[in-house]
Amino acid sequence: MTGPNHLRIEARVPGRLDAALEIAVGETVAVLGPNGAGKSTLLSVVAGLQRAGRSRVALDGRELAGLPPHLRGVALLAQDPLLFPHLSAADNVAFGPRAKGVRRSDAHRRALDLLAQVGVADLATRRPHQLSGGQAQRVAIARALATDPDVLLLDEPMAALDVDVTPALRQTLRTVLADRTTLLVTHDVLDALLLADRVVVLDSGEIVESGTTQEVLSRPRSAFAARLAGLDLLTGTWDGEAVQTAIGPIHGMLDPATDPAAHLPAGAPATALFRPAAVSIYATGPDQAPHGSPRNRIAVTVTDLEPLGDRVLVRGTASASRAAGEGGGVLLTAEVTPAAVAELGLVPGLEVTFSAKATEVSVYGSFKR
Amino acid sequence: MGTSLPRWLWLPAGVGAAFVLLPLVAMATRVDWAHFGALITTPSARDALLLSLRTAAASTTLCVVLGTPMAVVLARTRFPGQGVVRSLVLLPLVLPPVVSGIALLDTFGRRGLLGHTLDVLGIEIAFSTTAVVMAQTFVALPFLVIALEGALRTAGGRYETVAATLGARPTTVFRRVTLPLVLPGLLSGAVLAFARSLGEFGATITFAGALQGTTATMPIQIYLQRVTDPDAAVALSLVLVAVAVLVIGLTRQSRSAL
Repeated sequence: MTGPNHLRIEARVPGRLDAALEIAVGETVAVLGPNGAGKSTLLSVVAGLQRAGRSRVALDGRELAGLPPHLRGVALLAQDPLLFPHLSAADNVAFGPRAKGVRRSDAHRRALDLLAQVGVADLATRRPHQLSGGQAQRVAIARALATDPDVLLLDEPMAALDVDVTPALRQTLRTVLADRTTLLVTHDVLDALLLADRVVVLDSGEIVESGTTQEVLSRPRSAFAARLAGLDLLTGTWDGEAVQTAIGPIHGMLDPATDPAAHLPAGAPATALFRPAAVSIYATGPDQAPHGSPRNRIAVTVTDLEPLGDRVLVRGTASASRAAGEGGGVLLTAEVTPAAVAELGLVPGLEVTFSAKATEVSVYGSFKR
Repeated sequence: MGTSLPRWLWLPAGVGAAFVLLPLVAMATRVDWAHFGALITTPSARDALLLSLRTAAASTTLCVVLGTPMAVVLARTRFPGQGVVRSLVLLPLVLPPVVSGIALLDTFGRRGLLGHTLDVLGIEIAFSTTAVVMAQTFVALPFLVIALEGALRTAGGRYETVAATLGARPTTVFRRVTLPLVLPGLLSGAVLAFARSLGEFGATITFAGALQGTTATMPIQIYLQRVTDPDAAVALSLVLVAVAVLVIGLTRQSRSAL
């Protein structure tokens, strides 16, 4: 390998991106975020493909920001494999080494090695138009690795592929990324889980969350990460007893894991998190009020039903009726039995009440930047 | 296919095709086939054909050498006034060739803008074979630039970006990615430029004159002989038609091969 190459990024593109992050040698960091969050812009800044404003990109102390792409030692793998159509698979892989002056025979041998590593040794002589999407992406991975880049940038490498080829390709990536410094943009939670050591959540050009993959997915602090992790998340302000959110107060248990002293000052930004399985659904009506332990009741309009094994995911929008003016609505998910769906006659458009026991809701202080 | 085509469309389409093809057929019927071989091998005819092929090849080469960088700059960069520059560069396309010839004469002629400088250097361009090549290059260059710029825009810059992140210097990217990707466009542009050069008349006769063996290319020779020896003119015309058909065939083949 190429020795220590700790990467430090300060990406500042006015109006689009303002994010700083560091990647340790051999570490893989996944960048998650909704469309338009600035994920691809971040990669462009690191690769040197766009005017980077006041951005700084330091690799092992060496400043890259002023350098043209070909001098950065940063390889980019995009959604689209973009294999050079006029070259065979092997010549595509050999392109990088050849461009750096490696002898033809050596470059070719290296190309064959790498094609074998990514499992397509038998396709070396094929032209790109003779390859399937998955095969082409494997060749593209080999091509990116062929230059032995200090940093590998992956921009949703599996987004354009058939669902049935992604698991195998992900496994291949998992092997080849093991000791590489990698920045991986993805919207797939499996990519984050299986490929990344750490996760950064980007929203509107800013990092709203960061931590180990497990941390972020088990205790998301952003709506996006919560949706990825399949959890319900509401944000608001802690008033001493409940989290005051746009859709009303949510009661829950202060989470000792994130707040060891279980102390959250009133007025602090806070997050309430619960599993969809902890949600019960009731028909909306005055006589249907559930009794017993303190419960959170949220008025929801059903938007969508999706079968999940022997359960059904019920998605809905919580209306911000109690805090008029909060545009949009909060997306919530409940996981119930098909029997409950039938009994309540759940269809998109129906107004219902989502209910969650306070004991099932974790409350913790919100992420501070 | 074609199910929704209005039937009346066939009529004007047929008339148009007949309008293009009929004159060629008519010309073929006028050829004095008995003396065809002799007519196209007279010294003046041979000189004209060889001169035409030589000068058209030279001007096509010049078009490729100068036009490729022009197309790349126009397609891959942005600079203020680019739209105006593109329009001006393509001007010879719409300019009457005679006007192009006068413009060249005013630039490179003995009394032209650069005439004195060239005179001092002992270079005389006007009314020489060099002038023929320059006139042809002047009118043919836009054909190559337009064809290649279109191909470059269609190909897009994404492969070049990938090549750069793989460590290829700009020159390497240009040589190993950009050029191979647009090779079909470059070939058809070159063929168009060759055909335009071969048919050049107005600018050539204005700027280079009509001296046998030096500046009298096929079209000029045909024009001159039309009065004195109509049979020779028709025979030479048919040779040019044959060359044109050959050129079109070559373009089609190069397109389907790539």
